Amino acid sequence: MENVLYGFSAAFQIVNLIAALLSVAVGIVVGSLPGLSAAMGVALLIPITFGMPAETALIALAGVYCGAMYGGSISAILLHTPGTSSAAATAIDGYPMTLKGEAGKALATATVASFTGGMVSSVALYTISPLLATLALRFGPAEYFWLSIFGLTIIAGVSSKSMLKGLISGALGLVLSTIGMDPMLGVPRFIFGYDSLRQGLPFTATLIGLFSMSQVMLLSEKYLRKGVEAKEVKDKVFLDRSELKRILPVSLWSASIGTVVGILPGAGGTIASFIGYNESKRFVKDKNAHGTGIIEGVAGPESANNAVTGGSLIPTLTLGIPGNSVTAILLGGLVIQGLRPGPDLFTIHGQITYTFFAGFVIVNIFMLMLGLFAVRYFAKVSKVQDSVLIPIIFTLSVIGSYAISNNFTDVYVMFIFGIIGYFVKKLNLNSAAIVLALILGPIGETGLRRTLIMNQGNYLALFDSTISWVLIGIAVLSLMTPAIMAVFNKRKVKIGNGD
Amino acid sequence: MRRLELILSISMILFASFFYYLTFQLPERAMIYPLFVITLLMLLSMIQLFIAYFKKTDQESTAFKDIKWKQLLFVLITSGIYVVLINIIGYLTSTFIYVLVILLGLKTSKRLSIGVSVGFVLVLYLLFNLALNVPLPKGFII
Repeated sequence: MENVLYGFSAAFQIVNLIAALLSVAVGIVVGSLPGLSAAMGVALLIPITFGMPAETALIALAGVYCGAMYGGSISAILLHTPGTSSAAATAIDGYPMTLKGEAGKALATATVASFTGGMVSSVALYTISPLLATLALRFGPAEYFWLSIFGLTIIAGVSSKSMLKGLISGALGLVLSTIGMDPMLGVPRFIFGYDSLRQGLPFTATLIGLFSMSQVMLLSEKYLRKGVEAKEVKDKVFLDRSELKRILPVSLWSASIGTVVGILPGAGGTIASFIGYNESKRFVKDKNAHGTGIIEGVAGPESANNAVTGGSLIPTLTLGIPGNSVTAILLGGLVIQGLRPGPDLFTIHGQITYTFFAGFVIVNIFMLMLGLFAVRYFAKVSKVQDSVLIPIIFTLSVIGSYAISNNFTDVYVMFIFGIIGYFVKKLNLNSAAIVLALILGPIGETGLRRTLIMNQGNYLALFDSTISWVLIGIAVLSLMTPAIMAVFNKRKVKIGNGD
Repeated sequence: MRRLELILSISMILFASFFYYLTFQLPERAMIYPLFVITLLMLLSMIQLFIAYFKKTDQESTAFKDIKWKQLLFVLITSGIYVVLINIIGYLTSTFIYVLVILLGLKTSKRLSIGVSVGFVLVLYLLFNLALNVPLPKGFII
């Protein structure tokens, strides 16, 4: 409790407020530009936050994450082109509202709903994560091994398109994670004569390559968008009391679902927003109203996808298992700040963590304010031409990968992984799975080999504790999530179409 | 689709083989774990190869359709030159040249190109050098 209060007082320091405000604004811009993703924004921001105090850096990263999640709705509503895939469901009712001349109302709905989503998920962040972290206290090397196996099974869930390709991506990530020193023997592995690779692949540079530079290539391979004409926002960005009353229950319900989806590894914003959209149908009497431009249809998906942000931070901070690519990158940012996910974050580093949590709440408040009062200006940003974005993203990728350790080798690594990332996307492999494996590979390897050394090579030691068995159990369960989700989604669609 | 999957699995198999070769140069005790993960990649890629090879139905892949190769290569090669150039003449100067060349090459209007490249470099300088104190790669100019 002490820490919670301290967190709020520290989060209100002027530096943190500025970081929150600017990062939300950057996030909204990134999100509203079709083609730029939250993952890209966060990856590019990590080097910039490098020199900041840990809590300020984390607040800034969360700000971009939340802002981008919300920003996607702006172009979904005004252009019928979702800025991020999580906003695809928002376009279904958001764009018809724009055509009716109610763009302002749609944007206001998206803003209020996103805010609700973020706030509900922050409650979960405050309550669930300390509990989960205490559990992590009882983890030994064997448990960490199984934890990483569990994390790796998430890959099956992340890659809904083709499980085999997801697994191949994961295996590729595992192989790449062996680059660097052997953790037990200190022998360099696969470093190709580059001393800087002894520490392993430079994580941030790899990520910037996979998520940002690959995006540069994807933008330049096609017809370049010359600032499309976004529809004008003619009406006021405003909701009256009766409209607020209509969207509040939808938003709260979708937010709860979104939070749970966020905690579940591998699901993420896109799935959450479609579930949220379908759930919003429960709250409308006229069954044919959806799709014609009603505020409930905007509130459902928007509140669900922003609720994912807080939810997905929970397993990332407590167990070190990021469920999607944005939190994977955020985890990288955490490690750069010298913080390890787990119980320490809530005890030794409790002040930092709770300042971050309070910052997360503030970020959402700024998002609400910017959304209600400045959305017209953000809407103009979606007019930026692709040809301007291409060189800007690339130069930022270069400076970003260089700045972490002032080492130009990292820039070459970024370049190589940019090209790899391009083919990864083209061949339907999964960059998020590669990143997960890069993070979890070393955890699993160290856990496994420590257990074996401590028990004179006895493999049975891996199965000694109850926690190990629980982890094995949820790993098996997680392997089956895609199947379960498929059934779940089918049922949802049926409910949606049937009545 | 099938052809792409064949290419994918074969390149993964080649990649794994290369790492196999490297692993056998490590001391024996350090070999076990890498061997394990490389074998994992090898097996999965072989399954993919097998599936792709015996696949009967095939839909045409859209992944590499309608790609503006010239434009893509222009950006990629210019970016490569830019990265090399940074080491020689420094980050800010080469960034200015790079942004300008890319913008003009992608047929952006002259006024916008010059405006963006000057403005962007100025913002970079102010932001990284003065506000955030992030060191920029230096060359013989700046």
